Amino acid sequence: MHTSRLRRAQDALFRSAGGDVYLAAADREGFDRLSGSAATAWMLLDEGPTFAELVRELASLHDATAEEIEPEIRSLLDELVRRGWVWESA
Amino acid sequence: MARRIAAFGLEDPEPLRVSEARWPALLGVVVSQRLTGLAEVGIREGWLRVSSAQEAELIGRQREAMLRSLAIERLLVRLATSLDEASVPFVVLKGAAVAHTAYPDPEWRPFGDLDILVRGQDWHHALGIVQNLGFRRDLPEPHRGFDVRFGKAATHTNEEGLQLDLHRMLTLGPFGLWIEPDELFAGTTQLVLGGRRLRRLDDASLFLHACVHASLGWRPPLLLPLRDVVQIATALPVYRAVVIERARDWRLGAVVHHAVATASELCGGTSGVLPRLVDGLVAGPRERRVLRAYTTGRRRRGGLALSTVRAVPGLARKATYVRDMVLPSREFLTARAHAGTARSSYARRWAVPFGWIAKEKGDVSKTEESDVRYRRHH
Repeated sequence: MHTSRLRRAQDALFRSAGGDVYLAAADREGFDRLSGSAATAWMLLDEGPTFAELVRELASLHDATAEEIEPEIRSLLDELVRRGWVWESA
Repeated sequence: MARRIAAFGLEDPEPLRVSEARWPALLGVVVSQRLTGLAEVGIREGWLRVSSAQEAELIGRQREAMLRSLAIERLLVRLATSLDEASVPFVVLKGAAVAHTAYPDPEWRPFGDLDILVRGQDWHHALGIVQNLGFRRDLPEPHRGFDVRFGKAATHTNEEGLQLDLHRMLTLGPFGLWIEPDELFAGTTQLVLGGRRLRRLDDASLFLHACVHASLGWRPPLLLPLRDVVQIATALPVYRAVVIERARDWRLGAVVHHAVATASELCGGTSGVLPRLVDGLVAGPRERRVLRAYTTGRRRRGGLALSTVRAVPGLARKATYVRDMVLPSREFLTARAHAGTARSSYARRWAVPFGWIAKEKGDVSKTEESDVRYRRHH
């Protein structure tokens, strides 16, 4: 995950409202909601960052160190990958 | 105030402040006219000044609007899969197409239904596909074969309450009949959504359709369709020569001028882009007369149907149209009665043509006079 590029799944449909991001896909019902730093992370994924770049950007935005937030971001990305919203590419 | 929100970001930088007393009414209009996206961006950028309670209320409504837009996009992707599998070409119209191409972000432009255009030859096939996806048609066609002869669209609703309009034409009446569907299909471009490659109208046709929808869709025109006219003209490379050629071929001169004049008022008449785009476009007297059947009180008195009779080519087809309108099927009348719409009985439907006869006899001189006056002033 450290060197590969992280990208939003091409089939992800999404909207933001009130700082939250809502996700939908054609092959399932319902919506997923990302709030707070998870919503910010989703916006940054538009650029296709590496994991390290994403952590660095989020740390800078939240006035924290990379070490402090890395476990949370890793956990968020694992969940996003598991649910099919994020792809990793070389 | 709602008008200023519809024009957010176009010309007027003066902040908009809303009092507690005016907020409930304003919010009602903002929601019903689908302006929550523009309002939310206005708040975020400090232009729309509201209390934190008002902001929270607005964001709640925008969230609902966004979830509906997402649900419609999901439906669009599913429908696209089915139509592609059946080799039925289609074009995405209005909300979904405009939100993703003309606005800085689709959040700016909520939409409440899905509009899809198919060719007349694929109409019945497409109807079957839509119904297989769990949609039921709101109203049957007035008479067997009406859809493919004269119909504009069939509205469908599913159990979730999502609405899908399957179009054969862009609008009702003469202007719908004058727009050549094959030319619409020829003038399309790619729209990528949810990883699927779809087709939308190209920029010139997108602009012309926005004009048609803004001018002819509702009376008085709704604010978001007017914003679409300005947004498409200013954000996309819409070429004047193409607009003028197509508007001339499809006899849309009067419609486009009407939409441009009304949309220009939205931004205080200060945007020069719109008038320049249609400079040199001629609106013929017949187009102007037909436009009044849509945009004046004549519309509710059967003026649109009368104009359509005149626009339908050939005596036999005219007679068929009149029969379909005046003697619709019992099934159609019953469905209309259940839907709570007007003219749900034969007697009521006949009242309008009898009204025409009476009015035509009594008001001919007045009609002629107003036409002359219109020509003089334009």
